[in-house]
Amino acid sequence: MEIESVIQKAQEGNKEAFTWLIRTCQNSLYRLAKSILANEEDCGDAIQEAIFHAYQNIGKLQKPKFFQTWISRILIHECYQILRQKKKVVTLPVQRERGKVDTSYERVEFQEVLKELDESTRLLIHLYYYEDLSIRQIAEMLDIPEGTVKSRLYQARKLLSKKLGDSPKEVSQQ
Amino acid sequence: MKKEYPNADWEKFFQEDIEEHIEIPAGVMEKIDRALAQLPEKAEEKPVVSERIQSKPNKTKRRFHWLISSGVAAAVLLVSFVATYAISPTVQQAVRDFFQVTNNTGYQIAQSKGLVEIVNYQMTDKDTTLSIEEILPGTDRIRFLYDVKKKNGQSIGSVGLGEPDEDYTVTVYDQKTGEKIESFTSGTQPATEDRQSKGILEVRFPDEVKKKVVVEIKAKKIWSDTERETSIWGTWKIKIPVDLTKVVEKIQSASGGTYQNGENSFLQVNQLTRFGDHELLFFTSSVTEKPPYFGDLLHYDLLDANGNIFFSTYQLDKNKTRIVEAGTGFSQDNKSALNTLEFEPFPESPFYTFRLKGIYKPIVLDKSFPYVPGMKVEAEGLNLQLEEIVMPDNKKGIRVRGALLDGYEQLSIALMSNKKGVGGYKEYIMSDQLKNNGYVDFSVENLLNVDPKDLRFDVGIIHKGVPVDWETRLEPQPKATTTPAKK
Repeated sequence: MEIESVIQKAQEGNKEAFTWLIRTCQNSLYRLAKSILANEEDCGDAIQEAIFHAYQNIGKLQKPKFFQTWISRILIHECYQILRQKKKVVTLPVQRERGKVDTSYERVEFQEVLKELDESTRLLIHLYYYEDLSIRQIAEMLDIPEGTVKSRLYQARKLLSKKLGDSPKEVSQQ
Repeated sequence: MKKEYPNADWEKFFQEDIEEHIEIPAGVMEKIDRALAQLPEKAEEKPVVSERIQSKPNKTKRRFHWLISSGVAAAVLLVSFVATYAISPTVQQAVRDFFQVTNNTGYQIAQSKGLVEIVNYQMTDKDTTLSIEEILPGTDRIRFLYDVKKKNGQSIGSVGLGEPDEDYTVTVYDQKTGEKIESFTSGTQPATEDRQSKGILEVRFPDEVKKKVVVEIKAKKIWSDTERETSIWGTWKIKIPVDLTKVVEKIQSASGGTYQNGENSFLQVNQLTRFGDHELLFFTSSVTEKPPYFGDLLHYDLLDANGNIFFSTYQLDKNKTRIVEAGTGFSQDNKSALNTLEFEPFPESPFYTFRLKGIYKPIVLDKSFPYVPGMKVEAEGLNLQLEEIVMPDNKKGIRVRGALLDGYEQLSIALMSNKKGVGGYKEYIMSDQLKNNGYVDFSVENLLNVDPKDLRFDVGIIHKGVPVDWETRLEPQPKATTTPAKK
């Protein structure tokens, strides 16, 4: 199915089309929410709110090809709303719901180190590596200058490298 | 461009994570399912009702508890709905979202009327030129048509200037004294369909301004919706003189009459102001005598000189002329409400008729009944029967039959779960919908999977009044020579 035509249908008020769009990106939305929020209930609430706002405002989306970026931005906003309401330090739960049984020790260690990052750094890492967004796209999404993204990403990489015993390299502009 | 990993050894783990299948936990999946199931059928039928808006905004889970699924009900809801408008910015935004239309129709009409001034102001930074090409001056707002071009002269696509007061500012000064004039920016939007590379920036005044002014636009970010990579950070500053004294001559205004029925039921059509690209209608209406002081429900039509209805509160979703914004402020003694409605331009006509068809006062019933399939519900002004049905989309639903008794109008009903966190569905019923063996259907798909013992049927607010047959003529004249009301 041509995704842009589905988005157009959703913009015309077609609920089925909108539902289809959410189904195609729900894994990504969950992973994004999880990169910011500590517990599953909050992730569910944030995604629920994001769906609500996206449905209400999809008519404002001017370029269908940016749907994923657009709804991700809405979700990030909802996640931070929840964080602000909670006003507490967020720690990720020890157990994650996924993971292979044959996960290597290095990978377990890597995931533990990721959990130690603050949520804004974790978000940057998520957008850069998991969502494969460029520095410019991340800057747009988070409304911060590209230089800030670049320096924060470099600091995050430096920290990860230090903990994981590797040398950081400059993040190249994508 | 696809990034290449790894730059460091540990980056391979990201790739492994991406390739690994993600299983969304059941609790999260349930919330996604519920959210999707509870969305109204059409995006235009926004799940915006005052109950939701007035609930504490930080309790995000509650947002889905009250959903409205009838556009028809929204039409007649107007007055009680906008009564909350003056309360908070959240409500204002919700109302704006609900009446989500662009101002471009008005801009196009203003262009065709020759109200737009062609200008050429520009500034270049970072090899990017921001230019102001047209001005649509008004005493309550000024709109600017802008474009952004690259060094080679090509437009960079549909552009925005980011968030008002953060990424850009618009300041208005008195040209003569240099004093700052109170104003606010309501944002940018793409210009008309055939001019997609351009945008419209709007600045508004809380009070009408009828003097020569200077508008200073300062932008520090320009981004394109078509090419996000072309977002540019820089400094663009443009000063534009605008003469608002000339605009006054183009504005037309008319006053209307007053309908009075006893002490506590009235409507005064204060003024219609025609700005060329938009219309403002002000009217004062009665409110309930006791707290919580809901605005009265008004049924009215707007007609042109040929007797054609172009706006009606009965069928807001079918109107030829739409409301852009609506607001209500209450008097200090809570006896009246000043309603402000901004419309898209009216069809051209030498005069307009405001036809009042009814004023209805809200009565809070606030009754709950344990839900039983096929149940009958009786309360003041209503006599209903519920039956379970299969909707056209094969989802379960409730069909409401029966009647709203004579003199009663617009009832709010809801099917709710008694269980915490499940929520329910809300619907509005008009008396006309139930006449001649009529009925109202609404989908309650998720709730009907809940044990019926955990469900309840609520009746909320019903409106009581009498039909009215009253009209007043609005004959717009140049504003300086506004005619008194004609009835």
